[in-house]
Amino acid sequence: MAVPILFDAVTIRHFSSISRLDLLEMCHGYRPKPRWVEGVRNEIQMGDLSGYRECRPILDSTWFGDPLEPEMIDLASIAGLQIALGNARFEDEDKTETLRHRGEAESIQQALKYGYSFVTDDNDAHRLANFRLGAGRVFDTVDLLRLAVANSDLTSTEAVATAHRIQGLDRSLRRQYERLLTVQDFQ
Amino acid sequence: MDIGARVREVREMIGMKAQDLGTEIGLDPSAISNIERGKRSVKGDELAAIAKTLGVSVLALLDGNSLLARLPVSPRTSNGVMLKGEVLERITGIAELHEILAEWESETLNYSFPAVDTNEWLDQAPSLANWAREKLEYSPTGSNHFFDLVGAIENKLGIDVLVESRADEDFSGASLTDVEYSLIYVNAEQPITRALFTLAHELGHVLAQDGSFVIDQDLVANSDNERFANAFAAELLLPEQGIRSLITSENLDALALCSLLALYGTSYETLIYRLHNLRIIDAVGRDKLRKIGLRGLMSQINDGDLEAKLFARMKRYPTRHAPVPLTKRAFTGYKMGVISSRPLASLLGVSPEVVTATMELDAAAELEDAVVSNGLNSDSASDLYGGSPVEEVE
Repeated sequence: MAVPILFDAVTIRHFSSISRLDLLEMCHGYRPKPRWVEGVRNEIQMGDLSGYRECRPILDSTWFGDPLEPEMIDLASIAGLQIALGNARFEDEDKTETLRHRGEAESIQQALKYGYSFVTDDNDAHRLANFRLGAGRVFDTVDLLRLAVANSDLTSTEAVATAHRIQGLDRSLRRQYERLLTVQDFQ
Repeated sequence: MDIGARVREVREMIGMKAQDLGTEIGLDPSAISNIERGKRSVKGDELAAIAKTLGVSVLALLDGNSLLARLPVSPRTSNGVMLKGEVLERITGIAELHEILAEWESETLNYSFPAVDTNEWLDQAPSLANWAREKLEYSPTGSNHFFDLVGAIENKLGIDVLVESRADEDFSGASLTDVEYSLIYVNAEQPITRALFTLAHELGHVLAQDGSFVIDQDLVANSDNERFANAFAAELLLPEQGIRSLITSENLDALALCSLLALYGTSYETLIYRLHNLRIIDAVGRDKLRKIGLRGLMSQINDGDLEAKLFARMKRYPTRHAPVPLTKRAFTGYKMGVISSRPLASLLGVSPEVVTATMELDAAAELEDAVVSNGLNSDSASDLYGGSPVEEVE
């Protein structure tokens, strides 16, 4: 049986910024819900309030469904993960931001608890999740595009173009993909 | 104690009304009341907002017995002056990191210090200083006084020392004293000679285990705990035996004083303070020396090398230093996937990208070595140890 996959805010916003949320549905629509956690939805709501245009279509989409809400018993583990990911105390620019890395921390903790997978393009969250969940359960945007190619939802040329469009909007893929991606990356 | 009861406890501790807390985080007062009475569950983002408003770590609300819960909620200096909270914020962040790493570590930190009664500070401080000097294998007449002492405290006692500039807050040093974790924090915005006394003073607090958290603004001795810390620092840095073997009331002149300063590396103010509390000079002599000032004293000696050495030291400030024991633990934690690059980068004072890129290049050992080795970078006893040993003197 397919395992639910939890999407991080950064990855959802990547696809929304190029109006391709449909790709997520195309590749992962068969998976059962949940598709995101409460902390990720909160981050996207905050982004919407701050005027980031890619956030509104995400909130309007019905595909994501209700976010997974952590239980009280999960809060200590989530707080620990948030600190491990570098909560606001460790970052100079805004020490008062309590939501920073909250979505990633919740996603990793819930994926760990329920055996779900996790998708993120945040380098640190990806690395930490790899350690905690195991390598086969953590993915990023390039992985999603490769899967779309494997499923024949996209050609490798279209996958490259999609990645370039995301990068062209100054949105970051994981560090290893900072170079210009080519068709070979998707074959 | 459950989360709700803990929220109420902290809220009442800082004297905040439930209504004000609710307004601050956008919740109805009845919701706060229900959370506190355990009748309503609290969401993660709500808990984070509550913790932020109450000025504590989320971990302090989740576990009332944790190190974070033992940190104070209202940052005050030893003189009772309210601070903006930047120092407490920084120490809270470090204590959080310690908690996260400790959860994964097989060994707990084990501090072992002699029992001290700070009410008996006049007798106890010198004996603890002698114990510390032996344990630290620290020579107060070494060449690099401040960082020699930093290294000894970290290597021999396992106590973390953080030295960094906090121009935004008026404090000399701070110490977190807890059986679970201890930390000394020295503000690098002070000349290295003054920072040396601050470091020793904070070590006195830690060794005395005299409270969970102290922020020292000017090291004025207004309590037995502070007098103890000053007396401890004075004996550690300027041992009575050593001083008396070099100087007496009879041979005390400008050259002798300048030579002592060069040998022990303390500030002029600290030396005057020490000579007074050893009764080598009296209060009149102390005030006279203060009036003359170090520049006045140096003008009276005819030794260009000594003058240059003291002058250079007056202008020197400590460089940043990351706490080495914690940094080593954080490196291990990073390699094991316990923490991300960000907390480690914050400790080292570099960007997360530098940490990650270096690790990916498999140069972690080199980075660790570089960071760890270069040091990131009519007088009563109370009067003798009263006042401030680091008060600015022209």
